[in-house]
Amino acid sequence: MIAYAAKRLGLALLVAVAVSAASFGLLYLTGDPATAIVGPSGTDADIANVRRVYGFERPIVVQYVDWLWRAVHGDLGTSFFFKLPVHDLLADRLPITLTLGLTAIVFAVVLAIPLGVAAAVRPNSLVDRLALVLSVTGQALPSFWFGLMLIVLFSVIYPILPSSGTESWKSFVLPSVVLGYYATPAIMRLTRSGMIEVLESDYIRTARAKGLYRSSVLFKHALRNAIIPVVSLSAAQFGFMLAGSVVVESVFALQGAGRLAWESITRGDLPTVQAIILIFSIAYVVLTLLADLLNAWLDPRIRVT
Amino acid sequence: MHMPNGKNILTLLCVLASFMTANVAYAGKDTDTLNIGLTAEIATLDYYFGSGRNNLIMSQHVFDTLIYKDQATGDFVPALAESFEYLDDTTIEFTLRQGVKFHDGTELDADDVVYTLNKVADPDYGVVYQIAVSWIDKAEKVDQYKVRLHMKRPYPVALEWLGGFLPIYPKDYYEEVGKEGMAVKPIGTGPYRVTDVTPGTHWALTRFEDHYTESPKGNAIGNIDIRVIPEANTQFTELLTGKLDFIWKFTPDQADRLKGKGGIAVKGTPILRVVYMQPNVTDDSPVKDVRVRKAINHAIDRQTIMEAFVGSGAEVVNTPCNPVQFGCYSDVVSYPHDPGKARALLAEAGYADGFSMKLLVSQSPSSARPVAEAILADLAKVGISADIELQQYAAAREKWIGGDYPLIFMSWGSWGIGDVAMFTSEFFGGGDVDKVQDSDIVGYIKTADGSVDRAVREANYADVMKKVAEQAYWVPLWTYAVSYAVSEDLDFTLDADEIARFFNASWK
Repeated sequence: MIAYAAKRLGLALLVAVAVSAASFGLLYLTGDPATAIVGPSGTDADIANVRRVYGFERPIVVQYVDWLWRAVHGDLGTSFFFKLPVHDLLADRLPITLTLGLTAIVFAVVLAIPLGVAAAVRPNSLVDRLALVLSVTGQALPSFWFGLMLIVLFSVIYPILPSSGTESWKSFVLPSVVLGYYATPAIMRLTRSGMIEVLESDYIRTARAKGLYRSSVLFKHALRNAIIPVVSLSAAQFGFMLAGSVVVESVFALQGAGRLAWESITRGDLPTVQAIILIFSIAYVVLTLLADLLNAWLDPRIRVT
Repeated sequence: MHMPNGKNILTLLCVLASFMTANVAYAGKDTDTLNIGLTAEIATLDYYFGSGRNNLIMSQHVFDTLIYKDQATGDFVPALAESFEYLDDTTIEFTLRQGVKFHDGTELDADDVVYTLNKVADPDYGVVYQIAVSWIDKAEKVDQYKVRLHMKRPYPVALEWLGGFLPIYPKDYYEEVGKEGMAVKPIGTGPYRVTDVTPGTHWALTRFEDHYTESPKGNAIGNIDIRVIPEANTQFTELLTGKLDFIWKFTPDQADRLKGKGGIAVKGTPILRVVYMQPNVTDDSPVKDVRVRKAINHAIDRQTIMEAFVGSGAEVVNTPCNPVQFGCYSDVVSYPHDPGKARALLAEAGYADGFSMKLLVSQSPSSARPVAEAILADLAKVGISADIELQQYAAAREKWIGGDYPLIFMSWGSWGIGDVAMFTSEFFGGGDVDKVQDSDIVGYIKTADGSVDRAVREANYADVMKKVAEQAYWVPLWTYAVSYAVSEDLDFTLDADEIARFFNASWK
């Protein structure tokens, strides 16, 4: 198990570095950072001066290595836009995105897994059909629209929840529902198909024949096997929620890291973008790693291969 | 990422919200707090290192300048300096007001002024907008309340910069906290002091009780609370439910839908920004031929497109400047909408069957794409087809300078400064973005920009405008107008320089 974990960890680190190097190069293709910093009123002299003061005239490889060296030593640099240390900005923004991502994935899992199990127990029944409708709707609803509709309902018609901000736990209810609902269909469908497959297998028939309780067969024997791909998927979905919550953060004016990343790209704020990409890619890699390890624990066969 | 405009959603929101407004208490007035929703984030509050309109607005509340431009009269009135005088063409002497306090209680004197101006004028210090400071040679202390400002050359728009864009910092505090400290805890002499900041998210300002009494700025409202709400529909909801008192820069169709809703007033004001297309005459392409450029001008129905996309208060222009700017001579050849004439000119130039090209479009103004599409529809009628390449401003500018694009669609705000030195000189003065490089025009501009004689400047700028129009070096379109909406309790008017001066607002 330890050798397996070490191998996975090594691969994970390589992926994180590769992602950050690729993104560093890609950012240069989207436009000159000096022009972006100066903004729409800048003159050529302004741009030339910024390029000189910020060191943009150095080769891109030198700039990247310089950045990586300092990042490894805990210095993520200073935001071009805010003129503040990037780690201060992230200390403000990451907790918001993490809270949103966590509550959303919990909402998604709590909704999706029971629905998936219920649908699998009686395929093609009314319950299964309802679950299907729910999941198709979740996949098809644009999140900005769903978000606005929830605002209309719960902030305007019945003003019980705030439509923006991060003042209290209440502010996270609507965005978590919107973000979580989007992840629900995939998790639910995978639980359902996994459960249907497992429920048809021989050992389940044996377990039933032994006269075990129905719930025991369902949750102890069947779900434990059916849930393995669901764990991987949920981890990937959580990673997606951390990095892909931009739309939801915009609608509910949650100033999280997703929105910060998006804004920073448009204004060429390289240190901020780089730090966020590094952190998100590490988070994604760690989540995948954890999912792999969790699966290896759930299914001993995985450790061997 | 594409954020849908959501007309239908907005309509629904407004209808639903209008049921609610009857029993909504307008929290802003009750708590003496002006709640503002912005789409774009404010960068650092260290003004000299920020960019964008919101940064300028914030600086005017927190800091003061030596003199102040009265927007109603256009006059420069005393502010931190109680008087000033030109000693010669390149020297201004300021007599500072005594007893002006910074937010930390210290008093302003010549040391603060000399320190600030010399610091920001040093190119190595790297302030973002060099254009605002590059004309300064040095500031010199005469005595505790007298400062002399030496310019590198006679510079006609010096007062414009001094009257709003060169705030004075407290020397001791800035030396102590530096850029990072000023970014979140700025100290100025302005009518409001910053009490709370979450960078990029939230800014709380409170009236500075010790703001000097002779100030041209007011502070009738006790608190100003600014939040970033990126999604326009969320802003509308909060405005209609009384959680916001001010929002701005939405589209004319959104403005129409907001109008008539309870508790708010929707307004519009023309601003200095001008929308235009600029042809590239220095590289080989059909627009190198003056007849083609004239044909493009004749082909576009500017009045109709402007009325469809720009709010009330905008007007069609014929020169590369805003008619309200000094030096914007407008009595030039114009090219009225005439597709027949356009086709004839194209045929004469050898393009009877038309031609196709690339159109570079800068994402500024925000509704650039639909407007560009409308223009292309007019061009298609005379046989010119074009592919739009939409870019963020930064990328568009870079591509334009690199060449290879015959035409760019863009807008220019002139810094909110009413002088064509901030507009025409940028595009025809011989720099990188000048894709005409006409030596006559460069010469006229050099003379006009370097003179303090208004008559000389006016005459030379007029020559520029005439030649640009004759040669169709520009495709002038229209001026721009900004829509904004306020709580009906709020007495506030937006100035034409696109700077929202909330220190002049009050409750009704």
